[in-house]
Amino acid sequence: MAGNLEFIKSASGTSVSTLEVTDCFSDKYDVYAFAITKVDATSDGNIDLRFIDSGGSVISDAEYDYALLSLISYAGFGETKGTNGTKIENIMRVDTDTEKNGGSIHYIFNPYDSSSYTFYLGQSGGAVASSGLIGTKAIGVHKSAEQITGFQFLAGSYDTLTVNVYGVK
Amino acid sequence: MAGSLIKIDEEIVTSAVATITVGGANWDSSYDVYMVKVNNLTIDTNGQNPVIRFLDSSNNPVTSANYNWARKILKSDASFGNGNLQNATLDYFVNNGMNTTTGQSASGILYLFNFNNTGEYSFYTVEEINRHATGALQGLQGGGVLKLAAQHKGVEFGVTSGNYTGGSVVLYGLKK
Repeated sequence: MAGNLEFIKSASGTSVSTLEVTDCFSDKYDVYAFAITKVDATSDGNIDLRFIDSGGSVISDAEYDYALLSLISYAGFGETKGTNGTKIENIMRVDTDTEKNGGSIHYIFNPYDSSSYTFYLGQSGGAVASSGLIGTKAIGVHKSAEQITGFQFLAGSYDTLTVNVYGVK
Repeated sequence: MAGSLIKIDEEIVTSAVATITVGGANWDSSYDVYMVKVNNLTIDTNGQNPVIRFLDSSNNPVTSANYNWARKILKSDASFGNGNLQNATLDYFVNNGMNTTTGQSASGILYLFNFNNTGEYSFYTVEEINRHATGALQGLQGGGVLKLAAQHKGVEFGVTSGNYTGGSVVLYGLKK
């Protein structure tokens, strides 16, 4: 029996500061999952997220709200949040040491529906800093009703960054 | 290659309904773990909450005070909150009331565990996102349990008052 989690595409970059995953959303699915399966960074930091519109342009307008809970093994949990931002911040923490980077799974709701906002859910485990682990639970929204066809990772410096995209049929 | 996420039941809201049910007569008991995809639920009454209950083996929603749940409530415009309740008669899929303006929809993912095991309680995880009545982004990450050692055969989405006007709910089994 065919399954209902269908692989759409993989994208990867080497020695990049951004990674665009284009033309991965369509009218075939309403909900998508993407997994960051490999990341090696040249500087400690966070991966941020933006969406790409139907014209192929990265959306950098102040149209994003987000909230993120950091689950930290060596300290109190942290809160990151913002309204009317130009991106969804911190969907995954990264570290310069290869062995300290983990993975993450994320969901996108209704990106291709031009009459709906695009919502985001995500969680990650990784970025084991000098003291321990940092995982995340995150939400976000692009609060403009327009058709979204892809997404961009930004705000980093990566030796390697790989993402797989799936449709949840 | 055959996949392992198998669609069992789907309900798409095309006209106003008070409840949305997946499973029940369409329940397939051959899975250990189930996933529920909730997309773009909208309601017709300001300030109300989508809620969930599980179905018993006769396909009726369990309304007894046996739901325990806990969650972190993430907010884009305010400090995060905690939510928890014991011996409740339902769980809230959306923590704060929604309203009916454009963009006020709720989506999320649930995983269901032990639903066919008559000797163990039924557990679930939930992650949800919506824009609540003020227009701010909000969501929750948590889990719960229905403290009845019995088979449960699906999920009923209700509203504290009013109806659903749009959206969809899909039930999947995770195949071994």
